[in-house]
Amino acid sequence: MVKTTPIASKINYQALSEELETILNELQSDNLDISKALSSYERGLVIIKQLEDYIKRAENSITTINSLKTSKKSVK
Amino acid sequence: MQAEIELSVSQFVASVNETFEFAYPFISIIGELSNFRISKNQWVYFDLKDDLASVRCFGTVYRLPGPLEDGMLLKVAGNPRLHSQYGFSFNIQSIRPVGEGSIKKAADLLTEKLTKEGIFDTARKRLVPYPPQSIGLITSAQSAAYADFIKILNQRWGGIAISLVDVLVQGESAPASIIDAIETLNQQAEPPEALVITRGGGSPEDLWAFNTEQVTRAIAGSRIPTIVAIGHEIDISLAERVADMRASTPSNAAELIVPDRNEVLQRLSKQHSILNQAIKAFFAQLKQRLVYFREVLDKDIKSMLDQMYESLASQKKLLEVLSPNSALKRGYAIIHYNNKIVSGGGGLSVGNLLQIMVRNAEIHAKITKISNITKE
Repeated sequence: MVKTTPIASKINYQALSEELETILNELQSDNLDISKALSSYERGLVIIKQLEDYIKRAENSITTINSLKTSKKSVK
Repeated sequence: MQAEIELSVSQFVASVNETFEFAYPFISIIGELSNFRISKNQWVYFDLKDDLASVRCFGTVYRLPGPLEDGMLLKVAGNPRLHSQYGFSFNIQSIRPVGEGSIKKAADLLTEKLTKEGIFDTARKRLVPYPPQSIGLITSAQSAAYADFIKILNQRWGGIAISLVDVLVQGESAPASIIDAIETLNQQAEPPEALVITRGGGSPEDLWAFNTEQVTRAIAGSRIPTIVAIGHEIDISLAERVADMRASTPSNAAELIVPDRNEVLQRLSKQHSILNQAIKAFFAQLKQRLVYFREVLDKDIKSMLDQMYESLASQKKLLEVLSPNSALKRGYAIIHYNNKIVSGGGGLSVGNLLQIMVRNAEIHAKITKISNITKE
C-alpha cells in the first residue's frame, strides 16, 4: 500500500451542506426566538468558512491497493 | 532405425500428457462452436472446428463468459489432455467470443438472460454519495483513462481518498482481474463510498471483459455503489448497464460524481448573502414587532389613565354632594353646643348658648324655649 499525497483536513461536506440549508430555511421562517436566530446565524457563518476552506485547500489522495488474488501482468 | 519404445497404455497416456504440457504450456484455439451442451449444470462440452478439422473441448460452466450458441466464433484458451478413459479433449481455461458478430451475439444472448433475471432493473440502482469522501478506482494505472479521470477529479474537487486497484482492462485475464479488484475493495475494513470502474474506448474485442457474465454479476453484487465508464464506444457494455451510474467517458465519470469547486464556491457566496439578509430581515421584523408592542402599550396606559381620571372625577363629584358645605349652600344650618354638633333636643336647656353655622356666617344664639322633645 503506497500513499502518494496527504489528505487535507477531513470534513463531512454533505452533512455540513445539509446543515447550512437547514439553517437558511430556519432563519427565513417565522416563530424563531432571538437566541436561536443568533446561534443559527453564527453557526451558518462557521459552516460557510469551513466549507470554503475545505474546497479551496483539500487535495485528493491516492492509495494503491493490491488485489486479493491476481497480480497485473501487462497494462493497456 | 530407431529403437522401438514399448509402453503400457497408462504409461503412454502419461507420456503424451507430459509432451502436451511441455509443447503447449498455454495455448488458445480459435474456431467455430458446434455441438455445444451443458451437462448437470456443471460440465460444458463442445467442438471447436474449422473447414478441415474439429477438436473436442471440455470444461466447467464457471469458465463460460455467458450464454453461447453453435456457430459463434470462439477463442478458447486451455490445455490439450489425453484422458485415460475418454480420450483426447481440450481442457478449457477461458472462452471468449471473437469477431464483431460473435461478440455481439454473445452480448445479446447474455443481455437477454440477465434482463430476465432483472439485473438491469432501474429499481436496483442505488444512489452514489455526492460527492463521495472515498472512491475505489478500478482501472489500468498506466492508461489514459486513469490520467483523464484523476485530472478532471483534481480540477473539480478535493479531499477524496482514492483507493486505486491497478487492473488489466483487456485480454484473457481482464475479467478475473476486474472481479478480484471489486471483491478486494468490497472487503476493505473501511470500504470506499463508491466504486469507479473505467477504461478508454476500444474495439469490441478490447472491451470484451466488460461484456462478460462474470464481470457483470460482480458489479451487480458489489455492496458499494458503482459507476462504470467505458469510453467512446457505440454499444453500451453490460458492465455499464448493470452499474448504479453510467458515465460516457472516464472524464465524464469524474464530472458526474463530484461537483465543480468554483460553482460550489459561488453557491456558498450566495448562501452567505442569504444568511446575512435573513438575519437582517429577522431583526427588522423584531424591531417592527417591538414598535407595535410599544404602540399597544402606550394606548393601553392612556386608556387606563383616562379611566382612572374619570373615576376620580365622579368620586370628587360624590364627595362634593355629600359635603356639609353643600347642605349649607342649600339653606341648611349646623348647630354646635359646646363644640359638638347638635343633632337633637336632648341635653339642651333653656339659656344654653348655641353656635349656628349658615352658608356665609356663624351666628351665636341663646335657647329661650325647648319643646316637642320625643323619645327615640
